Amino acid sequence: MIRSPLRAGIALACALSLSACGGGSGDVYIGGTVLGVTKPGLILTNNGGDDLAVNSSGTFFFANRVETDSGFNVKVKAVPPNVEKVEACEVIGGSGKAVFNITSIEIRCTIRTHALGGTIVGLAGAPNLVLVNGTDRKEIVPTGADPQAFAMTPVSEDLPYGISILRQPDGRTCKVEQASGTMLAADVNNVVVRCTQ
Amino acid sequence: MKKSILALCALTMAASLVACGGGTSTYTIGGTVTGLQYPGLVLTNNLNDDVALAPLPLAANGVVQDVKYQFGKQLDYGDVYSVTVKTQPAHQDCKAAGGTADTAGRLTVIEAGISCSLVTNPVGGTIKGLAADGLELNNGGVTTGKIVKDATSLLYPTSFTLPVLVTYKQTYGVTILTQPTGQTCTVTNGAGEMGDSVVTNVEVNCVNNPS
Repeated sequence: MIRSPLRAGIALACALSLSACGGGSGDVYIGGTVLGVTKPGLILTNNGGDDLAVNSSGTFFFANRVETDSGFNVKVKAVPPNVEKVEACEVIGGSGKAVFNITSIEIRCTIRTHALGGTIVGLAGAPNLVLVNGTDRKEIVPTGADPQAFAMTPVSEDLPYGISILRQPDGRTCKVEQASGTMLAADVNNVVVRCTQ
Repeated sequence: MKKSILALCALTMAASLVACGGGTSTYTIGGTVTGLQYPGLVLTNNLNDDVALAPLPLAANGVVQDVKYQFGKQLDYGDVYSVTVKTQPAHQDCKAAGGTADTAGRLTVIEAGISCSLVTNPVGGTIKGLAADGLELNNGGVTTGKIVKDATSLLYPTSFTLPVLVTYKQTYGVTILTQPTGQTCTVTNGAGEMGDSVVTNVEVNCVNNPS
């Protein structure tokens, strides 16, 4: 007779503590896929807690499962250093009611990009110079300026780049100096394309 | 008497409908080709009925349009069909994308899907004179990683291939991302536009730095 209310009290305490710690005893997994993460720093939260560090692109699941029919709400708390801000990691399908295991949440992070370019020396108005950085192709239209500035498509931070000549300008031969490197946290503007007759 | 004739009539009609499978006795085999951009594609059904397909002009928004096709020969109920690529179009690789093999009449709609994509090829070439660890080649954001001496043969590689394939008509440009220790390498034939076959003519020449 004395033990019965005690038991109920313990059960209640247990239930309260479980709900306080985010429903870790639930049955439903909350997870999905992360895209665009190349280095550690991304931290996701569910219902404001249960911090989860995701260090690379791929699948993720929160450690704590939630109770069936309870809500989930996944947010980005922190982003890797090569992502500009929390908003640059878009959450798709991040909230709802957890009826069964959730595996469809998508976190898409966009890595910061920086300008890649430099100067062309001695082009002397010659047309048809084409520069490439991998699949990025840039036809150079002579402006008459010497040196003439050029810019390739911006490159994601931490990615290598390498500029080479796909087509020489009419009647001149160019070489690329400081052609390659890895894009760090600032624009690259020191590539020199030097052309001679 | 009248009633029994009517009944007989109804029975006959019902029986004839069942026999002819609800009205259609032959089936046209066809479907959709997605991603077709170049001419030359020939599809075959059961290796005995061919259809040649040309790409449609690009849509106003620049999107490649789906091409609908049908084979000339009709099949009977229960006949097997199998749609395969007989001849690939120029610069593309087409393959079955669902519904290309079944028996006629089993499905309400026969829709044999073929999907085409532009060919992709690796970029690589030869390395001469490499005698130290650390050379790293790149094509834009794609790199070979540091090239080192082979652990078993104790030799340096004399060829390389970049790990990501390049799509037809896209450009590539191989550059030296990192020089090997104590050597300087240069690239010849480093840049080009991808064609229909593997690129193997990029030359990397390495010489020792003056001491």
